[in-house]
Amino acid sequence: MKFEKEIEDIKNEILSELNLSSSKKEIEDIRIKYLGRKGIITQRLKDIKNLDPKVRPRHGKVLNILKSTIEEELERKGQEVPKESREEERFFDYTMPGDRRWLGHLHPLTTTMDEIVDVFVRMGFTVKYGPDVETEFYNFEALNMPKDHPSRDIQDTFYLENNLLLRTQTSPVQIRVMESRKPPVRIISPGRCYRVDNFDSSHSPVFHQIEGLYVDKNVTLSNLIGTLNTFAKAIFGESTRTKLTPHYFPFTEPSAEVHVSCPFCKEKGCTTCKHTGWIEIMGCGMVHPEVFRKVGYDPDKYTGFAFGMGIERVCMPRYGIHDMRLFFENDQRFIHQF
Amino acid sequence: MKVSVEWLREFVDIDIGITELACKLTDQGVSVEGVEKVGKDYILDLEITPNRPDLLSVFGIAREIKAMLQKDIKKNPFKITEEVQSNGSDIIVEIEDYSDCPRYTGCSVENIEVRTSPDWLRQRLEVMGVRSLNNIVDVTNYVLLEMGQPLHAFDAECIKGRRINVRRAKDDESIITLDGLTRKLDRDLLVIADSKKPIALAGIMGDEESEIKNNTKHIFIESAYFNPTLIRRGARRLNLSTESSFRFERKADIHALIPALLRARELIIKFCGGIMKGGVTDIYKKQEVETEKVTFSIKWLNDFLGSNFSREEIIEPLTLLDLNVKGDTSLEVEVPSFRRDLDIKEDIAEEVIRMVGFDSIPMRSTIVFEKVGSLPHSSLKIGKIKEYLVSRGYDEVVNVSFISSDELKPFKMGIKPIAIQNPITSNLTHMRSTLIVGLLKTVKRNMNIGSRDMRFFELGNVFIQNQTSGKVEEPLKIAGVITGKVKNQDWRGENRTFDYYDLKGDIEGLFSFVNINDNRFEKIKGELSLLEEGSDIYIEKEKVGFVGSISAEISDYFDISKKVLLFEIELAPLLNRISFDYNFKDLPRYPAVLRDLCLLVPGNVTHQQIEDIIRKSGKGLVEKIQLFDTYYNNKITRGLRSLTYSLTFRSDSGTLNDEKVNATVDEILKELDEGLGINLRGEK
Repeated sequence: MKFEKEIEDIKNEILSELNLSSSKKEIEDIRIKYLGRKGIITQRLKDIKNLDPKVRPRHGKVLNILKSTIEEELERKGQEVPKESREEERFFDYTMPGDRRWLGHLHPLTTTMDEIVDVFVRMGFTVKYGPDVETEFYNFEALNMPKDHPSRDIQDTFYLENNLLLRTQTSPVQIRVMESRKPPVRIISPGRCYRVDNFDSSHSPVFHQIEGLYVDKNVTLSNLIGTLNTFAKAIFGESTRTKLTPHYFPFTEPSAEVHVSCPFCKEKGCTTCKHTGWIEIMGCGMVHPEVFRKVGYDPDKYTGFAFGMGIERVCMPRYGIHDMRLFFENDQRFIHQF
Repeated sequence: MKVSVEWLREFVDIDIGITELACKLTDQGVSVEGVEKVGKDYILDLEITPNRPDLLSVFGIAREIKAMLQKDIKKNPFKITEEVQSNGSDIIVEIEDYSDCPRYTGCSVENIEVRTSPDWLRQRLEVMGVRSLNNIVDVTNYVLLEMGQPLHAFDAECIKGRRINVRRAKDDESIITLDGLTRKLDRDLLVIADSKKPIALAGIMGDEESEIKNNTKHIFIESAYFNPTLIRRGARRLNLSTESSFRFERKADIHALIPALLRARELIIKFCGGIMKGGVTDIYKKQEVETEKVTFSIKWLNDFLGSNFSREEIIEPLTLLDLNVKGDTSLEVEVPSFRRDLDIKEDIAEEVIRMVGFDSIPMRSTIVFEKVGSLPHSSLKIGKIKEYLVSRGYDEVVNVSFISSDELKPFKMGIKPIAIQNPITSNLTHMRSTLIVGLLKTVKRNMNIGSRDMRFFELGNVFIQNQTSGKVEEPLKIAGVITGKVKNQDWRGENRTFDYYDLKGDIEGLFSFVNINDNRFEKIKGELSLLEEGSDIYIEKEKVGFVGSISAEISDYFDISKKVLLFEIELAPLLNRISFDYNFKDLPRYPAVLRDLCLLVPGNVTHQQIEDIIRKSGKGLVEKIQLFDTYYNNKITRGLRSLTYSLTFRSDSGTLNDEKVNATVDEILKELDEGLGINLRGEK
């Protein structure tokens, strides 16, 4: 009688485990192990239906006897456990800390980037990526910054071997996209950029940008201002105002810097906006005809606008972060706040 | 560029406060970066963009303020004229190539007395950041600051042969510049030479010998226009940027040479004594186009800006900026010589906007596009991967792309990182070829602030030079690092330290989350320099990464005393396989049958080998293989271990009966025995 022998073994094993147990919790664990929903005895009882019909009644009987024996033993043992510890366990302290699993946090640059991308995608822009390592042509010449031109001073550049460089802006992506197809072009390009700067509270040699480009017939400066105003309200809140001041970029004409009303002080002046009430968040302008010529677009037929912003520069005033270095130090106490 | 407000007031009435002035200038595109009070004066720190060389002088800024405040110019230093001849001075000037130097002017003053300048002059220079030297040099600098035209004064007695030759340097020539450095010259550099040798780097700096000394009696003043590109290249090459070269690079005003020269002579005679000697020399090859004209229609301007300006609204601001406008519906704008940045109609549009303000343009964002915007699939897939890791407790980190090549050495990865030619510091000299360096530094930094339990991941590109093509590639990678306990110490007391299987489980979970099933963990090939206990990760037959605990050597290098585990995986093979086109499979219709197998396994046989055999010999009936127990103890023969599996059998064509399952199990056991020497526990 192999089966009866096996059951006897199981019974002895359970009894010896019970013998060693000294708390209600341990007893409960044993109950779950054998008689729980997925317990060993429960499982065996369930499996009876798969057996040869001839042996089913015998096995069923033996197993049921085992089950009731164990139930009795569990009950008996339960009584034996010292009263105090039982009392203690009976007090259900619903305020004790829950069993919290760790949950990670996304980096604020990722969430900010995603949010900005999301706003523009909803407006109809498509996301395009390009390489970090670029050539002089895509990073400068095609953007109307000829060799030996002082406009190159604005962006001090890291160089690699073979005249390769680390892009100083994500605009090369715009050139690559325009080269590859005809208007209308309506893209945003997020990515990492590099400029020769030392780390300080407002600079980093590595930073992130999102640039946008819209080229079509009849694109106007008025469209640009409207688009950026919509964007600023989406990111900084409905009451945000936008202000443009003239600026110079070689690849746009006219060019402007975009300022938004300070989200913290509502233009009253605070430390975040350096008491001006406004925060500069990006540069923008109408695409320079020379850029169109470089990619083979007819500047008499098409117009376009472009804009670019630093993710760090948008993220900092938004969350009240005062030091850019924090983004790249990856202190847990920093990341966990987002 | 720093500018004194008192000095500005000499040229234009400023009847608004300093703060308002600063705001208005900024709003007009001349950004005021700072305001400093010096005595009764205010110094404005202006950001002058490279397109506006006309603003690199006090008078230029005054002219801008005049337009802004709609005032008149009180005094114009350019309104000095005198009859000039091509070689009216006692020094004979020759130009080798007019494309290097289209215009050169100069004049002599004799019997001057070199001494210190009057206090007011010194102060003016100093508040604008120029050091006072002596009255002659100070006057040339004063005129440079006032009018924007760089001048140079030579000791006339040091001009050998009384001849000046503007020419390219010869390959064997050299010069000792005013800063005391000897500089070797060549054909790419433009010099001012006398009959013997170079006495100045044209437009950049003079030489020691011909500089103004305390006993200098006779001087020659130079006011010239040099090719901007040539000056820029020279200054860059010699790493010598001066007030002069800065202005020449950005194009000086070719019509300002004579007024600046005359103004300097007038001031020198006033402050340094001396008398004129001879007339003014002016060697000038006139350019074909002398006046710049830009034409456009009012309709074009309004279409371009989306505005509705009338003719008058356009003409008025342009006139304030000293642009001469003619025409009715089509306008012709004559651009003065100091505004040669205005070249195309878009430039004129910007001038209008600068003057009337962007807020006079209506906002129109309602552009309805034919196509909706979209994200590339890769972004969505990356989003999913990040979502998974965050849910598993990993914090995302962002490290800069730079490392030092030393940091890579302990890994012995055999990859030479790409060097940066001009790194900012000695520890950020190369492009990262792995994300691990950044992650280990992140761990170290957090340990320093007292963190013990960490899970981090980074997703980003690394930079590798392709060995065959030599091209730089930027593969995306995902890497993670864990250390410490699996959860916070709590009152239930269940806790343990992270180990290999925790991290492997997270990676398997990731694959499963994105529906990649064909992944395997194999023995690490090659040198085990990175990992103590680990494995290579494969998808199908492609090695995509590795996982394991870092070796003692690496812990030492990064000064990490705790056990740290990490992984790094190439992203492309994952992204290529992730699909959002889910292919739904019908739910199973027939019941499953479970069988437990307790196996005695020779020591060097892996779970993977067992799983592979069970799958293969299971004839497609094995739905799930679960290892649920493993132990070594003294009941088991040495060299063996016991592995207990729970197998789930199911068929999609009918209910499995015992006979069929038993036959399959037997087949599996037979294959396990023959292939790997594995037996059921208790059988042999």
